[in-house]
Amino acid sequence: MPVSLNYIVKRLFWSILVLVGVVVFSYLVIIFSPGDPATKWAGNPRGVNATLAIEAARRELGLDKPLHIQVFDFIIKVFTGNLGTSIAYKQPVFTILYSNLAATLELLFCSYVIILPIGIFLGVYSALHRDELIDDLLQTFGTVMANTPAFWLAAIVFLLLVSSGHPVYGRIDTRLALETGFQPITGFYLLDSLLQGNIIIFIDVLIKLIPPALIVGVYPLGLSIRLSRALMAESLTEDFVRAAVAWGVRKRRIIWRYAFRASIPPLVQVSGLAFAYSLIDAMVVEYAVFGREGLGRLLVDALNYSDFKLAIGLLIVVTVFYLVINTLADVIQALIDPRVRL
Amino acid sequence: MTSTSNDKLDISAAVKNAKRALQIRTGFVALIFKAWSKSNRFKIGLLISSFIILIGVLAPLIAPYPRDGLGYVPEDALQKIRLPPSQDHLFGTDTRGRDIFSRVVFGARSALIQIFLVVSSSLLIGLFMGVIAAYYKGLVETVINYLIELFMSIPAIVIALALRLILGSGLFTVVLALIITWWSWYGRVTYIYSRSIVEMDYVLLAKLSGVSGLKIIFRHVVRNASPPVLVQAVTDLGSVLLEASAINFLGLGLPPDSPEWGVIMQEGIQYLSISPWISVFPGIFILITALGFSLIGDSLREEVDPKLRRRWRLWF
Amino acid sequence: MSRRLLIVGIIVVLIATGSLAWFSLQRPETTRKVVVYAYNDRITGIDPSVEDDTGLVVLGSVYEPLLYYDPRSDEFKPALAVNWTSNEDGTEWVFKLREGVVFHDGTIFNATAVKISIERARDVYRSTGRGMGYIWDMVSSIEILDAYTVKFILDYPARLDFIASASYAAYIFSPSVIEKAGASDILDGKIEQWFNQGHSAGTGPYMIEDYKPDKEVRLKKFEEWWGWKLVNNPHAPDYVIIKILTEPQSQYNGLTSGEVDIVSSVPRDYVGQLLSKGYKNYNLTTYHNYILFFNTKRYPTNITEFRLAVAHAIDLDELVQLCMKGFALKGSGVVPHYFPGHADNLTYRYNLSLAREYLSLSGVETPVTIEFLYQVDYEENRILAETLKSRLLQLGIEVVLNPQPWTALKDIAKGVWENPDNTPHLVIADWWPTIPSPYDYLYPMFHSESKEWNYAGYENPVFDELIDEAWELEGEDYQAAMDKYYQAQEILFDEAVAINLWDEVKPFIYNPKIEIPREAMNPLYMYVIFFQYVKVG
Repeated sequence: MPVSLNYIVKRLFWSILVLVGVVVFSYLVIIFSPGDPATKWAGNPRGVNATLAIEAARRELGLDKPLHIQVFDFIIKVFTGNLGTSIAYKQPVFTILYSNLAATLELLFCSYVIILPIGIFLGVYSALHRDELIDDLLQTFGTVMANTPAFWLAAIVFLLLVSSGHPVYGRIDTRLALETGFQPITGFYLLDSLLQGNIIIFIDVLIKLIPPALIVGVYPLGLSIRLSRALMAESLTEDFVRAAVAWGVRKRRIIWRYAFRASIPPLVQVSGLAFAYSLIDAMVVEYAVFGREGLGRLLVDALNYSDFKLAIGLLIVVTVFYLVINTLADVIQALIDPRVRL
Repeated sequence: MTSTSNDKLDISAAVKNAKRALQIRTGFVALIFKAWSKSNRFKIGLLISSFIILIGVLAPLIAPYPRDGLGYVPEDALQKIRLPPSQDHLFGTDTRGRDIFSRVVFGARSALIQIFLVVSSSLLIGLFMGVIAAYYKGLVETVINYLIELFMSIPAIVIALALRLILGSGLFTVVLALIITWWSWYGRVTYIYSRSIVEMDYVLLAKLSGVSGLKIIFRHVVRNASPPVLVQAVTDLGSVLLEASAINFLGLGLPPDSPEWGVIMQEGIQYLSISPWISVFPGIFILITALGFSLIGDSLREEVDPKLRRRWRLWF
Repeated sequence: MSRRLLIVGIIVVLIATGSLAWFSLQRPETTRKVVVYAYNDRITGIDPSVEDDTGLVVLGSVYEPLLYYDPRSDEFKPALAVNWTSNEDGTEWVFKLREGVVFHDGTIFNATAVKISIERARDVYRSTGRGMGYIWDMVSSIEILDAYTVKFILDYPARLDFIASASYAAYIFSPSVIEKAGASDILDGKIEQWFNQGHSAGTGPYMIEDYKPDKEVRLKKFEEWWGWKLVNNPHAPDYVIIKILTEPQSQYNGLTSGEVDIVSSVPRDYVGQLLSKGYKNYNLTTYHNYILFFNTKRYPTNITEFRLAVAHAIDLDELVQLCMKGFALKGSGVVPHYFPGHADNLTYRYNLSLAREYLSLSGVETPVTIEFLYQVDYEENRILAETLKSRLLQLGIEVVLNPQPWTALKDIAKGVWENPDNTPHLVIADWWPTIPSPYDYLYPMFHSESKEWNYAGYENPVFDELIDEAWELEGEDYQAAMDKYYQAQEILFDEAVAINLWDEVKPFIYNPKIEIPREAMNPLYMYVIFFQYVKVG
């Protein structure tokens, strides 16, 4: 199907351009903000070693070369995955980004896998009982959920868990991991524990995943309840649905195979946008309240250590994530919905 | 006798002038009135928002301990550390002995300043950029479109981190980070709308005769694109608050003793199991305020565009 | 159809939840004794010669110095050296080494290892300025008299017994490291890289099994350690996990959920509650103090009377309660309590009218604005800054707060030498010792040649000479040296160069199933727990 391939290629190309733009932007930020860029890149080092570190940073950034070459070199560096060594962690930036990204992604996946079906189902139910009390209640509930600050809810839930004597914090019980010989393989602990047949760790990771996942899911829950309700309500008034009713097609079939089907494309697209947005929620909640490792921890540490490299790496990773998710969502939508072709 | 008839004429002329002056805004104002009469949600939202604005404005008068509200540690701090909510301290005290109620009240002020600054600046910048892109076309258009795509793909929090590392903590950091990411949506909407106007005959005529078509476009866009954009802006006030508080909660924005809801919550997280009131109350206010603006925005949106099929972005 | 589906769905969910709950209650039978120790900062590195920061918590269990010193009891404890003597004027020291000691990789410990380790610490400092190797600066040569005897020849007399017991730069590592790292000589940077990859080559009771400096460091019992027979502790842990938990809240959560056994930094407000829940406490009076520096090169803190005014406007009793919740001793002089060279009676009295007098004497017009730089990630510093801001307002002094992370703070504060007018007026920094000598506090923070840590920008040749003389006098006439150190602190006190706010009393809260005897901790080795004495179960 040459048409859709063209579309995908076009989107990819555009995404890469945007990524390049982000890289250039971050580089310019380093160069043109107050302070010496080499010092910032080196993490504001101290002592007699400082001059050595700053010189190394100067070479890394290539500050002696003309500006356009600097930018170009930087772009190449980023795309080859070489952003240097993090000051906070003394390990290559991308290694740290990868392992922590896996942690946050695991949380996000879990969250959406549980919450999205629930939200959509509730929204459809709400649309079927349009303008009744249950509809109003659900919609109000959805609005409140969508406006609840995730970190506040996290604090409340955390407090409840601690007070009830079942505190949940961290991502995995290190002692248990040691005792049962658990080893991370892919970085996704749920998967890894199953691969190793380590049920105990699986349960442990799962239990620690659920509260933060539910909290991160609050915003998509509210969103999906409202969105699917609106979409369903609209498509239920469409002609083809009325025709199906007139034809005597069974109600359940109409709801799901006709009316709902029409809502899938926009649902996919918005869910994609929301998924990308939830990354931020996850970052805020996971470390500050639940002490889990993940991108949120990197955020806080980059701040505490003035780790510019890590900050830039984070910016790039999150942007890539956004671009990938949005492109995927658009592509999937284009595949499903033959009407959309740009 | 002549004077009275003159007065009458003056009055009706004055009314006519006033009506014309409101012309640009009639769309939006009519919206508001319609929403008020129709929707309960609008009423509740307006009530909540006005309540918060009132608190913010009257903060120094309402707060029982205004010095605490501004972040100063009271004289008798040692006696007042982490007291639970009581008659003297409606929301309790924090670890420095400051009255939380006063801090939250001043926090309303901080919240409102942040969100209005961000939304109004983003709106203006977006408007400007969108019109410029449509009017000048060519390279300018491509560049601005690219910038819009670019800044829509970056989340505010990471920008805030970068800015915090460079500029240090302060209002400027959080507001700037949010403006950088938020203007792009307004830019795109304005651009799309202006694109259609630019081709119109009277604009081309104006250009030919040397008059700046730019002004015409601006006025046209403002008049016609306002309702949906302004509605989105109102909803955005709520969304910006959620993001801004999150940024401050992580310490990437305002400094630690600021009366800002997110900042107060950050302070209280450490003491959650022994003094939950420090974090819980400001969060409630964030929720309520965001909800208020969101409700207003929602009900207005229903008036503007009952056919919601293509405006998915508005859901954010 | 759908109802059946629903019922099946509910049953599946019930089974899933049930098994989840049942599984979570299962704990595997384990005979391995594991202790988890929460540490509140990332490990900055574990090179035994070069490391000068948080790596100490690992080094203290993996490596050993020649001897240990406990300032609490003024006792030396032999470690890799069994005895030591000096000649009459203290310029030559002979150390007799312990026999039958092996390194973790099996190589035999002998005099060569000592020579190489100490020369490396000294020379790395001399050539790059990194690490604490300056403590060996007076060592002009190290002679190997025989396999288990080492002779140090010094440029000037010094108390080498104190120096050899230092918490940094005094660890002995195996010479096999040079080959393993593929290095050409002891100064080769490859060695440091090799260490920081997580390798260890020490003689200590524990060795590194896994090294993740930002998450956790796993130590495993070294069965061939020479000291197990002497310590006679069959309950010592087989594994020690040093878990990095930077948030005090996380440490609290870890302790209460049973995942962590020992914590060093729970929020101080929680200590009472934890004790009443049955946890035990080892209250360690540390030598960790917090110093408030005045920028002596910038108006108005360059005026002595102004500094004295501020000093007398600070209510240390209130601050110790408010910031440290009582877990500190009010500071006196610069050297902490119970440390060699501590000076009593050098605490500023809280007296507002006296403060006002000094203020008017200083000639500074109020209102005046000063800038306060502090470390944002310590809660006690935040409380201090906010309280100080409110209190100094009474004198008409407006304080602008500048919270910064530690790395940025160091950079800004050092600017007092090149750019004093752009450097904040007040800086707070904390310090813990390397060697048990007052020089360790006085030199780095106040000597005019120490541009690294002297955040006051203090330049006083009289003071400099006084402490330099004292340092060289320690080897000859220890008491006279201490007297000089006292005089030096008096100078600092009279000129109000800096205020020693408090000496920290650190509560180590731990799970009652463990026992931590007194020998397991020594305030000279900050944060180090000597796990060979800890009893599990």
